This record gives sequence, C-alpha cells and structure tokens, in this order.
Amino acid sequence: MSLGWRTAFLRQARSDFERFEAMLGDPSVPRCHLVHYLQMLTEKLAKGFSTTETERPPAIHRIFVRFLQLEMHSPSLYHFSDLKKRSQYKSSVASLLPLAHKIEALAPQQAGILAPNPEYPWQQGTAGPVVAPADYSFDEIISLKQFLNLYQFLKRIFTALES
Amino acid sequence: MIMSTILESAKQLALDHVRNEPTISEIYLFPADNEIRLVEVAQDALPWEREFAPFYFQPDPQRGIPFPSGIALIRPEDKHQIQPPSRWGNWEQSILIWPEASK
Repeated sequence: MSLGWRTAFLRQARSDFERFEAMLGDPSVPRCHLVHYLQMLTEKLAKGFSTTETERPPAIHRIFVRFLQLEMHSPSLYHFSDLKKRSQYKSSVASLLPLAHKIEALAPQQAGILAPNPEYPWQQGTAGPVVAPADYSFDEIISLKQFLNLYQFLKRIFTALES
Repeated sequence: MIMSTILESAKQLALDHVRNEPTISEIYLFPADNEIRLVEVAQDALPWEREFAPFYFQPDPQRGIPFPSGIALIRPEDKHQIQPPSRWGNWEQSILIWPEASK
C-alpha cells in the first residue's frame, strides 16, 4: 500500500503514540522507552505537518519546537482543543515549549556521548560511570507537569486527525 | 478570480493571527492558485539556515478558510535572506498583506 508522504508520517506518528500511550500505563517499562517514543512521535508529527502528500519532509532542525511555536503564534489546531478561550490555548501551547526543547535536546546527536539520551549509553563526565538509558529515571522529563499536558495535547491532535 | 479569493482568505487568516499575536510584525503572501502560503515575521521566531519550511494545514471552512494553507514563521532579519521552498517561488513574488498600508 502506497501512501502520500504527509499521510504516511502522520500515520507512523499515530502508531508511535499508541505504543507510547500503552507504555505510559505500565510501570514495568523502563522510562527511556517512554521518552524515546515521545521523541520519535513528536518529530514525526511535526514532519507530517511540514510536508504535503507529494514531497518528502524537509530536513529541519528542532522541528517539533518550531511546530509548537507556529501553533502558539498562529493556531491552526485550536478547534481541536477543549479550551474556550484562544488566549488559554496559546498559554497552554507556550507552556509546552520548555519540555519540547528538552525532548529535542535528548536526541543522541544533540546530547552527545556525555549526556543522558534515551537510546545509547553515555558516560557521566569524562571519567564517571557509564550509564545505560534503561537505568536512568529521566525525571527531568517525566516528572514535569507539562509531560502530562503534552500527552493530552498530542492525544487531542491524534483523535482529531483520526476523525 | 481564484487568486483574489485566496488573497481575501489570506487576509482574513492574517488578521485573525495578528489580532491574537502582537509579536507578528508582518505577514507576506506567496501567491498560489490552490493554497494560502503565508510567511509570518516575528521577533521570537527561531532562525533558519538556508531555506525556511512551512507547516501545512487543511482547509477550515467553519473559520472562513476554504483553502489549505502553508504557514512559516521567520525572524525579521531572515526576511528576503532565507529562501522559501522552491515551489513557493521567491521573495520578489511575495505580497505584503499585513500591515496593508506599508506597501
């Protein structure tokens, strides 16, 4: 089955989101997998919106942050939210930006070999212990109030896209 | 005829955006027959390297936007410097649609 590029990216983002959602309710899943899926799905979602059916998405650095920033300035998905006032929606999206920055900074190519990332082991400092992502808490992401707000934001978008 | 309708819809969309976002200083329309292509200029936008990339949205007839739209956000210093996607044409073809009086 061949899909258009936009449809294919949004379809894969949706599938990643479903895995993310299933893991969210399972405390036995190491948190690195939650963070990794969140990173992948937000990137694919933004890439889906950045392209048409006939073109590959452009290679854009920090694409999910850019997507949220545009949505904050010029909301196109406001009607998907359950917020009555647009100013509330804008504030809600703005509040997600710091977390979006953190998620994008965790990509291995951004984090490098000395900082936590959800995919590859890293070394703490130049002579510190080597850590596997599966043993790391990712509290700086998952413990934030915005983590659940981002989940709700994404859930609304995927629900709306499905309908 | 289609272009004039797109222009009207683009102006409506632009007005809607600037009413709610004071950091947008200018909005340009890159003319097309089948979609609204806007570049919005705002000081807090992230920088681009060589080419800016828009995000695309479906038509929204309930909000008076019967065409699909592509919208990009750029910094003031990137205007006329960072190029649009090739199928959008170039800056010389763009039309300043907000604020209207300055062009």
